[in-house]
Amino acid sequence: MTSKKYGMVIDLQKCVGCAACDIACKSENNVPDDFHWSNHIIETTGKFPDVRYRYVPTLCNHCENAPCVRNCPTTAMHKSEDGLTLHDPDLCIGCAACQVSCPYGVIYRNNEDPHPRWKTDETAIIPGCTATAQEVVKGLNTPIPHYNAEREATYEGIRPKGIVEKCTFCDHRLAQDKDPWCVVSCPANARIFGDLNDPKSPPRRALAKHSPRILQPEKGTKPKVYYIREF
Amino acid sequence: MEPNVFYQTQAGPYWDWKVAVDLFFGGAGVGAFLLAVGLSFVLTRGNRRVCQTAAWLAPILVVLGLLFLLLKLGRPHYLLLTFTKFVPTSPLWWGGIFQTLFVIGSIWYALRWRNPDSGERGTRILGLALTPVAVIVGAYHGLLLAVINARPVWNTGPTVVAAILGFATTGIAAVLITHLVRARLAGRLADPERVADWLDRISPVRNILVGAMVLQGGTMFFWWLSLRFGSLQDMQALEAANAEYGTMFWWLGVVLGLAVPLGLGALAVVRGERAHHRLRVQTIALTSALILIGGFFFRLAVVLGGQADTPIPTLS
Amino acid sequence: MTTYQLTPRSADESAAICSRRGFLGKAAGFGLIATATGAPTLTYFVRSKGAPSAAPLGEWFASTCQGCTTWCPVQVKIVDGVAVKVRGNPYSAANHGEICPRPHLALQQVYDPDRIKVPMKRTNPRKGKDEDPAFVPIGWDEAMDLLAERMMQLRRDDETHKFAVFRGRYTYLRDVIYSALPKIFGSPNGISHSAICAEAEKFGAYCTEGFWDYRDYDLENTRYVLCWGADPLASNRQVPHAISIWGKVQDQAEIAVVDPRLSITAAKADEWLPVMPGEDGALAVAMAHVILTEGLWSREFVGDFDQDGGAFVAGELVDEASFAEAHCHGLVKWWNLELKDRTPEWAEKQCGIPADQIRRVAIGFAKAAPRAISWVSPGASMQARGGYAAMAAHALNGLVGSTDNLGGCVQKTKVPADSIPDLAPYQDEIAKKNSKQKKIDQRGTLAFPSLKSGKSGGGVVTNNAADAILNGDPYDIKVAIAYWANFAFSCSDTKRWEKALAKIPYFVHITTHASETSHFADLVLPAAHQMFEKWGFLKSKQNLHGYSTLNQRLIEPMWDVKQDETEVPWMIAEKLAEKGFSRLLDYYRESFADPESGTQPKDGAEFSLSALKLLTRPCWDASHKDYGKYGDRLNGWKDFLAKGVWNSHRYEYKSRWKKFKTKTGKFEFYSETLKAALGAHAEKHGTTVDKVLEATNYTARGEQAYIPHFEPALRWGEEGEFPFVFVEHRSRLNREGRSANCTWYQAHKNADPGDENWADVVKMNPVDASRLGLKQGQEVSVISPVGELKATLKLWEGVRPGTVAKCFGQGHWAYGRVASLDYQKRIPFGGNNNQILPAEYDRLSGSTARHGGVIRVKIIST
Repeated sequence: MTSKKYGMVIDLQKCVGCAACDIACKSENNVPDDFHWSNHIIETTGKFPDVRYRYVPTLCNHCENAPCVRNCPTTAMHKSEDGLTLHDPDLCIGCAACQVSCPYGVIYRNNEDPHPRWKTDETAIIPGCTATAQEVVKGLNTPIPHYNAEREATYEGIRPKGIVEKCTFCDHRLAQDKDPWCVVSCPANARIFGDLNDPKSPPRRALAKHSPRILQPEKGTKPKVYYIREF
Repeated sequence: MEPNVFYQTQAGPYWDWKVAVDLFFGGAGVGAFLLAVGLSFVLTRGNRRVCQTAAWLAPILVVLGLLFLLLKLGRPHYLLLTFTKFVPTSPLWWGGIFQTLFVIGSIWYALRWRNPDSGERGTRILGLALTPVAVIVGAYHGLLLAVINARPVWNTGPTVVAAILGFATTGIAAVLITHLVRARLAGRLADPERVADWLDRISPVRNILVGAMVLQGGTMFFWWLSLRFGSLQDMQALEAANAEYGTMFWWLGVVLGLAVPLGLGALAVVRGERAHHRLRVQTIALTSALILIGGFFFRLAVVLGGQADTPIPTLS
Repeated sequence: MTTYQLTPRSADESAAICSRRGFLGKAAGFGLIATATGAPTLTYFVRSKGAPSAAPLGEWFASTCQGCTTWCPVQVKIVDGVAVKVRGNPYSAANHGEICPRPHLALQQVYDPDRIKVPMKRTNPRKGKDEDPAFVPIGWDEAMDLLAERMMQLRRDDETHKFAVFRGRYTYLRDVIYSALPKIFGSPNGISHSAICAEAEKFGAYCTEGFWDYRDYDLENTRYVLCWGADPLASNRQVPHAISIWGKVQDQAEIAVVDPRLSITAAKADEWLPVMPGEDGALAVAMAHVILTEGLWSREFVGDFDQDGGAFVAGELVDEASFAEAHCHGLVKWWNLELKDRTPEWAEKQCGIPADQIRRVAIGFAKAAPRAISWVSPGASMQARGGYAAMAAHALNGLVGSTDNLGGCVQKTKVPADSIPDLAPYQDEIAKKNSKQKKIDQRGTLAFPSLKSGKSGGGVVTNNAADAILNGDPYDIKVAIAYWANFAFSCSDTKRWEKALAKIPYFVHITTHASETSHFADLVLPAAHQMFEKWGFLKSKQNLHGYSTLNQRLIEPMWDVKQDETEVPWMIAEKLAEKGFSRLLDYYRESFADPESGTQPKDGAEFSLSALKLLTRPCWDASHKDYGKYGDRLNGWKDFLAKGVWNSHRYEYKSRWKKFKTKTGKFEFYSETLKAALGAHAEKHGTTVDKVLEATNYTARGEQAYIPHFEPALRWGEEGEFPFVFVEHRSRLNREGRSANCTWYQAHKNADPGDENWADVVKMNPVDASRLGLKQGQEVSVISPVGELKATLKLWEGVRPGTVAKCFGQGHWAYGRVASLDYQKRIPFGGNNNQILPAEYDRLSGSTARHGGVIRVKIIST
């Protein structure tokens, strides 16, 4: 088999809704605070005391039939050989066509400079005694603290103002034969990741064992993120 | 029991009023162009000032629309990339390519209209040749929204039809009102006789306009029908759009922009020559202005309403 | 500057535990001098598209997360001297390389621009919440001089006992500052935070099985988990292990969660029992009643009737002589004194849980036994009178024989560590005399038995120290040092602490951030961050493995911070020596020689390491008598540094059955252990146990005092004026109340069920809200008889009508600009629950009562 088709299966029974994936993703991909490449839908139904709470982790579905790719006028949003839906910042004109096209709300546009706090803030809450954001990043010589430079291998380390950004399944890690960071960071091991072309891969086995579901099947997007079992 | 669902994504609308302005001006420009081409075959050589107005207006409007589109882009200076790629699946790509072609072509066409009497064969052939480009640009304005199945309000056939009819009504209205200003500035509306003459010359235009409006109203009705009686998501999307932008859509877009002008237009057709010239001129001005205002708010309501917050789809 | 030798574990993230390539080669030379010696290469914003598989950057090093008291072994990735990301330590048998969300947040703590860079001195002599301290930066030498001068004055005046050390969170190097410093200086006052943590929960296990500690739980083999306020998927005390195994537990076991609020564990449970706050005890005794009347107790552990046909029948007394006990003591007494009338129908009226659900859960639990866990947490015990609820709920483990058993609730394995060297030789006369004075917190007084490990006054009464200081009873505190503690935020009825701290003539705060407590300090000393900048070690347990795990200095601190538990006391000792009192420095220098080289420490940095090596010797030093006896045989100090964790052997079931450390050596349903402790306390005060119970606010009298029994909930406030019972709970993102200044905390707060991002919500059932005409999202005041806080109203079905629930952790009026709405004006973002909670106690354990609906509130729209 030559090419791969990466996919993820999320075991909702194992998931405990802790958001470690969301936070770890921010750390790995230098994502602005309120962008959620890794995200979740939460739902409370019923009436006390018969209440049901559900948590559905979400991320880019890396759709086989990706509307963001179809509607991107410059091929900035594109499918890779491995089935990833990737974004080339060098081609992005920031038209947001991908964003309006995505039924899952997983694409974010940098309407302003990302991480503004670390760009300019020189104020201290106790002058002379506490630090400033500028001191921190200048001292560390990084654009933001705990900046992960490995992200630069395949994407802008931090995506500049004007363009969109989204989950890449950590393609920079895949290139090193490592799982996406959310997969590694999930303490419940609820994320099963691998090559869907390989019938022996963990996600394929999980799909065969359970009845997988996808988000918004009626959109015909053919997501590569599947859900099994119940939260 | 109403489910209580939260999903914190980036706050919309992702496409804001600037897109509506682009659609509005672009559509009107295309409408104006097609009107010019059409009239150049109908009107006699001596009466083609209105063609001239329309031909000049077309590129101006489309360029204006493009400017707003550029404003909307995160990185407008990267726009040229569009021309280096081939992305037939993307209406925006088609739009980029064909709007540019159209701007160049329509300027060329307008330049041939430096003299109102110059609408001879060459000009008419050029107009015909550019017509498919214009139609594509017009259709693009609808397709842009219609292909996005993430937004049920847009994702319909009538979206495209309404866009095409929309460019007809707003384009004509824009031409009429501009031409009226132009005629007045040139003193051609100074005496009743000349006014009557002027009105005669534009009466075919008026008739096309009334027809387009009737069709437009019908399209909107079908649009509403398809959503109201469509899938659950269609209904929810319609409801959400209505909740946030219903007033704008129905009162400004439909009543003010369609029903009132249609009424005025119908009145004008019925009363015909009997009405006072001055009143007829004023009616034309008012009707055109209302169509333009309504046409803009109609688009704004559709652009924004299509992105209104719908119930969050989760795993079923 | 000091360079610390660090040993990277592995360069390759995906390398399994067995892979040691790369680390041996680099062990010798790697030091964190890159940041100091030269600018690291500027790599960011330079994309190398041509080389898609760029080599991994940096290396992973071990440390420990102290975001909660699980104390997880973690690893931190260091790139060019910068901490970039974190993960679990794969060497750990306890969390098996998994971590919860908390360690990630630590990255934002250590690089928080609101951290204190240098020592700060107060220049405004007036102290109060509304006073600006007018802090100015000073050097460490000047700071130490100011503090030492104040301390020397106490020695000159022979009132060294008026010196106190307040301790919040700690590592096991704590005794260097918390014990040795005051004792050699001459004060009894090491005052810890323990009583605001979870001591009441330990009380239950102590009175029944003689174990004053947290239990461990055999989740891997269990068939029933009954959580009492416990929310192991979100908080204490083994979060990552619980998270990682819960999917399996759901497959193999029933899960029932007793919690007034729909916690995440309750949300994923088979049974949610939304008990009326504070009525857990009623529920527990009713379950015990069901287990006995249904005949489902463990014959093996508990014993049986001598003759066939013996039974526990509701309402009927049983002859003690008719029942032969196996590993337990006093079952029939318990039945006759308490359980016989505690029917589920009775409990339903008390606790709001339907009788059939009580019966169903009790039977399910007992039938799964011994693979059944009754998991007692602070939620069900840190209540006024909560010690007895803890006892009742824990007693269920005894009843079904699941204690110390396969799939049940177990004690702990030994994690060997040495104590600090004997300090008595370094105490002079003043020290000897004054360190025997009474402690400031009034522990052991009639109204505060605080019976830790059965000793009257054996445990701290943290929150009462404020009142004691304010009342000058037993004396005034004149100089105090608080470290890693924020009592002005974390103790209930915070305004007492604001006043008490303001009253202390010289107060020093060692902290990473300028917190509420710092606001009253004369001197604020910047502390190293526990996970990245500090040496230390912790002992903990999860997954039936105990462990010792290291805190390491992995990055060179950006600011002039010192390690609170070692460097600061060393510098104090140096200054005291300069001023003529050298005994503390002598002790530190002479007693803490490096166990490998034998050299005495010359400065605080060396001292930190030598103290750490000394105390952890049994884990790594083959020459230690305990080496290898209880678990891993680490190959010397470098190996310990590289692995970062020492694992104990796995727990052995039934190892305590014949030797519980109770008075009787058995599992006590009638607690002779508690009887002895209460008796001793009464005797000390020349009174009776009944009088003690009266003074300590319990309703039990006579024999009932010694058995797990129902105590009615104690609530502050009249129902008429304050219609809602207040429920407080924990956040899965709280790093013990210190993470609210992290933007990631705020941006993911809705991971706590019912909560919202960038908000601090009070959750109310929609039924109540519609009755009061309150709307979702509106700003409200939550007012109690004690105080008031502001929060955002959230309508949510996950709370019982008549109660409101709010998470602890936000409402800082100091700490930083994310945590507070306006730091300069001292306006909090959200509200601190401790502003409305009363200073109430479970006095037998000394614990602060923050749960159990101890306070009633009213909700007013603002």
